[in-house]
Amino acid sequence: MIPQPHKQLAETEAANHLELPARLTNLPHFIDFVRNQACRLDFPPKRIQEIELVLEEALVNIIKYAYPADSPGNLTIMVTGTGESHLRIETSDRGIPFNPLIQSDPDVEIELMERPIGGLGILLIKELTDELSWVRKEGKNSLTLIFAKHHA
Amino acid sequence: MEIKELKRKEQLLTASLSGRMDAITATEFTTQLEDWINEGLKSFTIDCSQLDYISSAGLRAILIIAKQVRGLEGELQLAALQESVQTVFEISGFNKIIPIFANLDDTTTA
Repeated sequence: MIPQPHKQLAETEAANHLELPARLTNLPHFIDFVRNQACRLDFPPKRIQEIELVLEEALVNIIKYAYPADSPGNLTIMVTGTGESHLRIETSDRGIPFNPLIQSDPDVEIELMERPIGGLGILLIKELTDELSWVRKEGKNSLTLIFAKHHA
Repeated sequence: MEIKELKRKEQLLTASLSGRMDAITATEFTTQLEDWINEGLKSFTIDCSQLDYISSAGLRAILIIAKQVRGLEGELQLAALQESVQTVFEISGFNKIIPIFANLDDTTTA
């Protein structure tokens, strides 16, 4: 039997980050992972659903656009609770530099037949997070999403 | 996600949508509705009371179909949105471009 003296420590560290290939089939794994963390911090169900939505929008952008279709790289999310009242999610990828926060918001007043298809994901991210930031560092895109337990 | 036909009358069809309409499942909606359009139907009323979740991929699918049926002089109407789905419709302004009714009985085609 191989001794595993650091098993407990390794599990604790592994519990707040998840790294998987940036593929749509992995989306449910990322969402389940964050949902569990938010449940543990006693976030209300309505807020957890908003967190799931923001996470889907942020991750789908990375999955679709960060890497060339024929050579997908990895996507990492790191989840930390800040106190009991906030959840902080950081996504990172080594794909092409892309700052989702500088894209202009779509016009939501345009009538049906003139409405462009798409562009609403980033708007949902902006509306449903409490703090949001993006940085390119060490060859990685890093998006930080902060959620208050009760969204203002 | 599940989409189920409830009834049809001439070119009008009523269906129910349940579960999660997300980046993985939203194309099932587009595929099913396009099949119905190809059968000659052009107006759709969708009961969303069991639809628990929608993301921008779901909005995209709804917009694609709403434009197609409007082009055929038909209509896509939704009924009984859950609160979380209603929130997404309000942020995106979809509540102003898609007819939404509180109950299936209030729609013009039910």
